[in-house]
Amino acid sequence: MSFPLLRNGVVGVAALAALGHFFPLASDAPLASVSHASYVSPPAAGNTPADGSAPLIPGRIDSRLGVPDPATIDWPDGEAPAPALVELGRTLFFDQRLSENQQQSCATCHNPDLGFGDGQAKGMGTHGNRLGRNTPHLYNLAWSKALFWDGRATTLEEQALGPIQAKGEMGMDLPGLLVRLSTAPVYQQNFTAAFGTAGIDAPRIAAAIAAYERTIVSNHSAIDRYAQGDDHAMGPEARRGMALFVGKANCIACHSGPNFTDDSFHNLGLRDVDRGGAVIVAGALAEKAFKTPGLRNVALTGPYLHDGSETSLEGVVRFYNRGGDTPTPDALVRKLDLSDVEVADLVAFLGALTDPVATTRPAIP
Amino acid sequence: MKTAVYALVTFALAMPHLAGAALEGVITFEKTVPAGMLVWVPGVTRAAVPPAVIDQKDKVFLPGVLAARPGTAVSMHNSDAIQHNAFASDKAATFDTGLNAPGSDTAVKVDWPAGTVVRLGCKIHPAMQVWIAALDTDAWIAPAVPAAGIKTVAFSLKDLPADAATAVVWTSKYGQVELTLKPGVEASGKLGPADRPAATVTATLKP
Repeated sequence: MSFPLLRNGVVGVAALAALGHFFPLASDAPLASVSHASYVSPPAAGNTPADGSAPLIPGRIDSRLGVPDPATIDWPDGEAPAPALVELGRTLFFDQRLSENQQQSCATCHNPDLGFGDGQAKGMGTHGNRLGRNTPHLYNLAWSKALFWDGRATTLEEQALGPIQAKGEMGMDLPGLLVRLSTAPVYQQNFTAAFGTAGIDAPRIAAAIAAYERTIVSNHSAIDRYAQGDDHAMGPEARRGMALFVGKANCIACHSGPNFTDDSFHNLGLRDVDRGGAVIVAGALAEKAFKTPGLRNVALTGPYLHDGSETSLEGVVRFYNRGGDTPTPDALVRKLDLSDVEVADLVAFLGALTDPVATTRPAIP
Repeated sequence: MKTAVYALVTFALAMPHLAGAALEGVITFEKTVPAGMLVWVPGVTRAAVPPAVIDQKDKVFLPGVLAARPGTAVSMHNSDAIQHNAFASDKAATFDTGLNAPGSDTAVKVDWPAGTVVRLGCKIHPAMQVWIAALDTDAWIAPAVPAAGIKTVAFSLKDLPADAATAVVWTSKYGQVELTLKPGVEASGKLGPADRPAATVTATLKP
């Protein structure tokens, strides 16, 4: 196993968390007991997910949370995409042809080794220019109804073409991209295989990339195993953190549901001057409001917040603990009066949401 | 005498609607069950029609699908303690109510063509959605979405004219299909693309 290196040669938290060394996922059991292979389904029956995972045990976790069930994905065509479409999307996702100067692919910023982010406070364009917001992760977006930090796209298909064309990001014009892809015979074959008929166009590119992104599903983390009956999945710190998450700290007010997001927008009281959702919907509440990111694999996706201003999960929790840095009309952001131990417990719980998603880097035609 | 004639005429006009026929049907999905479904029989007028009301409650539009006469207004109430929004960005209708305060009531005028269904969303809570159909009929029903994994949806429309000729089954994901009705004969149709239908609809007009 290789450790992804962040800037300054620091070993990525992703690798550490994946090994369970950083977060106390199972304090009273050997590490092997939390692996998928060693888990034994509990006898009690509950809501049986269609992806083959173990039944949920009612009452194990707060009813406002849950385990993502791929059977509930609202597929654009009403059914899971064909493997050929997913593979085409994977190839496009990693292909630097999609940027103007052919220096960036989607995976440059949404790097699977960096939690499908880039490990930086704010994103970087294909010419090395700094962007205005933190690069969002891609985990479990199959369920998302709001894409981009300001929610200006409602489907992955709609979102996918945005950064490709955006000046300052990948900066690629679509007609030029179609020419580039069309000159690669393999792409012509793969588009035909994926869609049943020949032709390369923008909607097909978007559909393919979105189909691949919907496969980035994380639903076998420690909390999922705990919810399914594995008492050893979460240690006491993480369990205390979970109680704080749904109780005193009230994180669940926004980070709810199987993917720990209300898919809504909130003004957290950051010092950043970015107006966020205010450009999408008028009104005081929308001013400086940004999408609630899902917390699945949050230990892998730092830096945090839309401006990347917090470099660690502890920093994020302490930000909320002090009630933000500037006044906000959102009453949910308030001082929490958490002790240092409670802050650590919450961080431990966030670590229990870790389930890295492996993805194969394809050969680029 | 005049009163008796009026009564007779009124009764005669109402006759077809008092026939008490019922449309019983099933939608069987091959693909995922959509969030919105609506079944209607055109051209039916009923004496008493409940007001068209939508509630914004627990970050959900309730009901999720409803119909109203073109030109009328649907009342939207915000029962949540947080602000909501309602907007449409559709070929048939484009509007935005702005921010709806907690406890407020907002009127949405159904000014799109009859037979058209418009999706409304909430920009604050993008997972919220509701479909409003403009229909020249009072005979409609929005079947409930079944539990996950269940692929059949039964529906029943009662108090229909015995000579009802057509029914329309609409879904938010797979378009709509029109069924030609004959009393006692099962009608059927497909939803979705012809080469790969998403669902089969069967329905029978029963006396």
